Formats: sequence, C-alpha cells, structure tokens
Amino acid sequence: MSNETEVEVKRVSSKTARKAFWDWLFFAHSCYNYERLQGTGFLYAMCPVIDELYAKDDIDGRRKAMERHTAFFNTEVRLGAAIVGLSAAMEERIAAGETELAEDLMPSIKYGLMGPLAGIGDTIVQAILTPILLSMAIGLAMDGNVMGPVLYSVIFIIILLAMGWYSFHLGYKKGDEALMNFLESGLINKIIMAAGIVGCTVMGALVANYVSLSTVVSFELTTGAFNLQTDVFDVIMPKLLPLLLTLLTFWLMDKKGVSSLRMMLFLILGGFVIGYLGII
Amino acid sequence: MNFAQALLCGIFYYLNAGPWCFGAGFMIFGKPLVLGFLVGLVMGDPVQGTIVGATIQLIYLGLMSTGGSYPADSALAGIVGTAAAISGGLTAAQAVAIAVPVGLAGTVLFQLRMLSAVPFTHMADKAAADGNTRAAFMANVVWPQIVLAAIYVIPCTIICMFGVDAISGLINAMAGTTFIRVLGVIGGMLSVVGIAMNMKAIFKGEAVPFFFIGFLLVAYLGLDMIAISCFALLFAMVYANVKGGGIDAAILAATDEEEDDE
Repeated sequence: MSNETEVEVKRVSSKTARKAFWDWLFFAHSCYNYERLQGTGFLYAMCPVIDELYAKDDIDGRRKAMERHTAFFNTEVRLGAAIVGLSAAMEERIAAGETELAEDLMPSIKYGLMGPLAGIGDTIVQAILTPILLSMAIGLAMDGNVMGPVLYSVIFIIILLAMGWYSFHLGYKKGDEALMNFLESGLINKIIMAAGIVGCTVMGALVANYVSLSTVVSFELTTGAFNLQTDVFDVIMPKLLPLLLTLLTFWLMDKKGVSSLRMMLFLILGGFVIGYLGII
Repeated sequence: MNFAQALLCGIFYYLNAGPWCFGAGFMIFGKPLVLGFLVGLVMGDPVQGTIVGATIQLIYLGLMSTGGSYPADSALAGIVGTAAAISGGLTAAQAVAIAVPVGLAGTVLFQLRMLSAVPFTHMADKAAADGNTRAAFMANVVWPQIVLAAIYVIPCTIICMFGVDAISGLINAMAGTTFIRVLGVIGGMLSVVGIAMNMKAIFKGEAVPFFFIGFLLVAYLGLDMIAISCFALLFAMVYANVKGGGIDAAILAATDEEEDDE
C-alpha cells in the first residue's frame, strides 16, 4: 500500500481485525432488509475498527466514520469479506489524516467491488459448490447413510470459512491493487470453468440416478405382450425418458424463460393428466 | 408430533435464517438434505429422515438466493415434508409432492423478515449519528434476531404440531387410489426442476459434453455419486491441462500477442 503522505498509519490490533472479520461473517445478514440489504451488517463489522481508531470521547470522529458505512450494501458474504478488510485498512489511513480518501476512494471501492464480488461469489458458492457438494451427499443419503448430511455440513462450513478468511486478508493486508490483480488474473475464470465441468458431469449423473419417469403403456399383440418401456425405450437407451424430460425442462426454463415455480406447476398438472390417462 | 419435537423443528427453521451457523445458515440449515436428517433425529428415525430429505433436496438443488430474492423456501419444505413422511409413513416421492406447496408458502415469511428489519436499520442510522458503536450492536444483532426468531420459530412450530398430522392423515386416507400413485410419479419427475435450475447456471460452452458423459456413466455403467464426483474432478483437471498446456496454447502464444498471456 503506497503511502505518499508523511503521516504514520496506525494499524488496528490483529485481535480487532479478527473481530471485524467474524462480525461480518456471522452478522452480515442479521439485519437483512429491503431498504439497505447488508448495509447495517457492514456498519456493524466496521465498529470494532472504529472503536480502536477513535478515542471514547471522540464522538465527532466516531460519528463521521460510522456514517460512512450506513448506506445500502449487498454482496456475497465470503468473497465480500475482502471489501470489509479493504475498508478497515482505509479507515486506518483516514484516521491517520488522509481524510480525502473518505470522499471518493472509499465509496468508489465499496460500491465498485460489491457487484463483481457478488457475481463471482454467488456463482462459486451457490451455483457450483452447493450443488456439487449436495449431489455427493445425496448419493450417500439416498442409501440411508446419515454421514451424507453430516459430511456435507462440516466440509461446506470449512470451505466457506477458508474462503472468507482468505478474502478478508487479501483486502486488509494487500489492499485494492492486489485485489484487482487477483480478480483480473484469470484464475477465477479458470476455477469457474473447471467447476462447471465438475458440476455438469454431476448433474448428468443425477438425472440418470434420481429422476424417475417411465411409461406403463403396453399392448397385447398376437406375438405376446408389448411393453413400450421395456421393448422400446430401454432398448434405445436406459434412462432415456428422464434425460428427455430434463432437456425439455432445461430448454423451457433457460430459453423460454419459464420460472421454476411455473415449471413445477406444469409438471404437477401434466403429471396428473397423463398419470390418470394411464400413460405414466 | 409433540410440542418439544415441533419446537425443535421451529428452531432448526430459525437457524436457517439466523446468523448462528457461521453466517451460513441458508447453506446448511436451509437444505432439506440436512433438515431431513435433523427432523428424522428428533422424530426417532434419522435414516428415513435422511432419505426423505435427500429426495426433497433434489427439487431445490439449483435454488439460488441472490440480491434479496428468495424463489422458494426449501427449509420449510424440507422440515414439513420430512415430518409428514415419517409420521404418516409416506414414501419419499410422495413427500416431495407435499413439500412443493409448503416451500411456496414459506416465501411469505422471508418477505415478512425483510420488511420487519427496516426499522432496525433506522435505529442503526441513529447509532451512527451518535457515534455509538454499542447501539449498532443492538440495532444489527439483538433486536433483529429477537424479531426474526419470533417470525420463524412460531409459525413453523404451529405447522409441525397441527399441520403435519393432518397432511399425513389425509394422504393415508386416500391410500391405494390413483391420486396417490400419480402423486408418487410426479414426485419422481419434479427433481428435474432443481437440476435444470442449476444447469441454467453451468450448462454452457465447454462444459456441455460433460453433462452427457456423467449421464452415460450412470445409465450404462451404474456408477454412484461419489465415483462420479471423482471422475468429474479428474475430467476437469485433464481438461484444464490439455487446454492450458496443449497444442492450442502453443499456437496462440506464437500467433496472438494481445492475449492476456503472462
């Protein structure tokens, strides 16, 4: 972190930095609301830093610092810890006299980074990590193995903590340039690409393992009973109907913009109609 | 279900929305997979609970809550679906059909939660204007969590005490009818929605063929999910190596200077 001015920047104790991290990680969503989303959570995470930087009776300093962090804020909590770390480091410089940072750099970093980090973080955590870990655990759980949910919970919490801790330190210790370099290094895109391959393989396997759809249509022919499922579909490819149903559902939801709720209603209504007709 | 059991279910439901699980309540206590096990444990049948929870989990596999959106309440669906299945002796697929409407109804509570915390954010503004960090703790943690616990624990406990037995009784009264048979068939189909939801995020570009590889490995070779995950990881590593260090990269480096090679 460059330091052109003469002032000595006082860094907060590592205990305080840790407290800011845990306060953010636990309570970012504690006061989640339609007006500011994580805004109040962000303010709360900055409080330990503000407490140490400004004396108890320096109400004016505390007020200015706190009011810098009351506005709307929303990002992915784990990767977003980098913004908390970065803001803590900037508060240290502001308290040391670099007050010009408060007007332009602080808001531009907070609001410039929260969008990209939310996009990347939500993709990694909710679109990749969650489904892959869930799929592995579902494989165990379907056989009645209670280690499925237990392992899922333990492993996921460890991964999330590691992600948050790493991001926070990247922001707090290395500063905004290191963070931008990390974001632009292409490493994240490589991780997302590789994880997309893992995710797609696992989704394909889930379809064959756990989507069930088969027809009960059969005819009496002179040569014997003819069963549409075993004599046609199973001969072409096992699990053909679940695959076709999945691709149709995906196409409707992705290309036609059908919402998941509406898709469920289609399936329930359609299922009742063709179920009562004796087709499935 | 007795009061103590129902109350525990209500507390699990609150943990899904509250901060106490390392701020990752939604990732752990929001998942029917985990809740199925916990509700099963409370009701004395953790194995059946785990199986039912995993089955309900499939329809919420690709569920994403981003930017204050909350498309379905997988937690309430997981709790009520599992409880109904265990107390009424339903199959996992029938429990899925029950879980769907419950998951829809639960989103109302999320909206209530998002509205109820607005006054506390103004309490935090006041704390900031006074430069009072202690008041920020009250505004961000204490008051919102008291209200949140009430919003989540009370309705879920009531549903578990009175609703679950009613649902399972109704289903059992109709045992053997076509309606119940079709309900099970639909439960088996609904898992495509969770899978398709996740595919919307990852089924693109270079990853597409791997979906079919995963499907075929199970359809023809019958591999289980752990084996598939190991293969999937190796596919990704091999693919990254081939792509990063293979012939293509050499050609690119030789011909294209403006690429972001280091």
